[in-house]
Amino acid sequence: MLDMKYDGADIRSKRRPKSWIDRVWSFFASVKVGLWLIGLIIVGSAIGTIFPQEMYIPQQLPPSQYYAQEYGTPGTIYYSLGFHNLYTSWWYITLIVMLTLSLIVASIDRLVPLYKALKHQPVRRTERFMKGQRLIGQGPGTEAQIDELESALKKKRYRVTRDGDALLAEKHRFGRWGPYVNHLGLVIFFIGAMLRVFPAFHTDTLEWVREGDTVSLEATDGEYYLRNDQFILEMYDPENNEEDAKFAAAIEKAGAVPKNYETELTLFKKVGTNEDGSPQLEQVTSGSTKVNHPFTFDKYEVYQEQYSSRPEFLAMSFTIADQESGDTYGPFTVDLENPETTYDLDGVEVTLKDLYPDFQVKDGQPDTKSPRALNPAFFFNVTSPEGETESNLIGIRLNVADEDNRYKVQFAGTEMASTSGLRVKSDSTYPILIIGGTIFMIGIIMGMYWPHRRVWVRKGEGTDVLVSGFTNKNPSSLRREVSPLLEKTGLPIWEDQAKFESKPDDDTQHERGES
Amino acid sequence: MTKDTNKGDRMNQAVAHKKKRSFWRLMVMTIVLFAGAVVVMQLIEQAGNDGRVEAGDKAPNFKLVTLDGTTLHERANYQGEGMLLNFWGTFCTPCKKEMPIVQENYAALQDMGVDFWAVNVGETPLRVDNFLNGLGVKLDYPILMDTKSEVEKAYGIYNLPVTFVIDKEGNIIEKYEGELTKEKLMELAEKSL
Repeated sequence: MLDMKYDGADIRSKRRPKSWIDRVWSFFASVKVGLWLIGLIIVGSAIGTIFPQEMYIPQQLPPSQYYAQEYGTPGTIYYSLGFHNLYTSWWYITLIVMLTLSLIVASIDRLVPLYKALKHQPVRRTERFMKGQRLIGQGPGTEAQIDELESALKKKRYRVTRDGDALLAEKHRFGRWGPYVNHLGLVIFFIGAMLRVFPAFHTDTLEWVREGDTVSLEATDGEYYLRNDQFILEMYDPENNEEDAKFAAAIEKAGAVPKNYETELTLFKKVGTNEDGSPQLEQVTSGSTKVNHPFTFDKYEVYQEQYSSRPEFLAMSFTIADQESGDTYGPFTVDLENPETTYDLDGVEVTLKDLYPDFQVKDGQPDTKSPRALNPAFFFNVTSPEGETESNLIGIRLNVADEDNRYKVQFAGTEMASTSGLRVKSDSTYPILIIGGTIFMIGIIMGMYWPHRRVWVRKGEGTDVLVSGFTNKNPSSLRREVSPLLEKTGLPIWEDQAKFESKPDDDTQHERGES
Repeated sequence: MTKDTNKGDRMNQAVAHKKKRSFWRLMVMTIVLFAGAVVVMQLIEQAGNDGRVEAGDKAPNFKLVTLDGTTLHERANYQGEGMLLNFWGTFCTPCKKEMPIVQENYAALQDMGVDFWAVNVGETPLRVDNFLNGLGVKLDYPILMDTKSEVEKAYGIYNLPVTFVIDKEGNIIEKYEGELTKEKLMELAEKSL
């Protein structure tokens, strides 16, 4: 049989390569190379799922230390080869670029000769050609019968061309372009994926914002600022909420179950710079973001992603009780970020001597573990109107003071702030990816559902008529379609040459899948 | 026309055809590989730009006031030769240990034309003041208050203490994470020149 893959035409890379250009071209035109590239990409992607990607690891440690510490030597190797940022590692992108080039080159290499061969195909083929086809029949027949077949084929929506006694009927030629349309879709998809590297097309950053704070958004290159107005964490409450009561049993088992994470936000746009270098902000809008319901502005989306489980203290209020007279002074409030050092309460003077935002005792001395106000403790001096000074160290579940102190410092209230982790994203490549994906699917459908079918008929030696048929998919259905017409017109019935002594109607095994 | 010239014509045509094809092949491959190279370059550039200032970067500018609130220091207005820019916190033990060492050698650094700026990360002046009073050594070098942690964020600080070696042009020569010893301090100062 003839090799009909590209209609018998030589694929370009198979011609003897002469220059280095041809050699490189042939390399990328090779299907084997393409399959290797796909294989490598699959293996790389699979390895990339062994440990978490960088964006999913905790932020406390730099990634270079995290992977080594958490996963040992394999983690170090994983990190140094860039698997922690797989989709933006240089070698992964290089593989994708090479696959893209391979798709383009292989497509041109096959499409051009195939197109030319199909465009200029002769109606009258040689006997050798016809006998090389899979479906072939030979027997007595007349030109009148061929004419009759012509009109029968036309009724089956074949495009029929004649050259004297020779006939060519063809249908669904465009199905042959399916793989190339498919490749085009893939190439567009890859281009879209590669554009994600550029911040103009794709940004993705996590911003930690404490309630009340305004931060510049790195993803917008400092153009926009967000203020966290409030962070809301709701738990399922089967006791007080009828709706939630039906989950009571499950909640009993699991403990407290969060129902909603939400951050109320105000968006600002930077319109200029103040003299002291601080940004001049203009309020744009406000809204909220909760899980699966991002806050959107411009081309950006803000997702509620994380929150800090320990809220920070913003301010604490105290009162001073005079244990001799029973009078109470205050309350007064200490701003933890920018504390006043003296508070005058009707003659009683309170001096803040020290403030430990994250209290601990180290080497017998009060100290702080971090600059974050997670567990604040205060060192106060209280001076009576008479000028006597007493000292107090007061914190959460901590009150160190002299037994004989006249004044007692008491908590009167706190102001706390949660910190919300917001993911700010923009992605302008979605339309490109969708278009690429759609074209890819169209290509597959074209190739799958429109098999290219051709029928050739011509007079042979003497009174003989040759009938042959070609299809790139499912030859038995071509046979089923055309054999009755041959029978009706009395022309020789064709046989499937590729069908050896196999079971009848077992076509799929001999299908030519390629085109 | 004779058969020979005919053949010659066809040869010429074939050669011209081939030249044209080679040209297009080269174009297609060049365009795709060039586009790929641009993407990879962008990646490499971004890999070094993860929000953490490293050796080879320009030192981000900042304006901070000293602990006593009297002097404003702006990084870009620095007139000296080299600079050691240190970040520290009162909660960090190695920071506490290195401070007297820096103080001992501060005069020598200044003679070299190298200044030492110590930026406190996001603490209150009250706490820092108490801490320095408890240190037992009076520090002559500027303690800058980054109360809003903005400079800390701009430099992408993870571990304390960290010292950036900055040259006269404002380029980061080295980022040193860890406690400073006398030898290390002088070595870094040399590098900043």
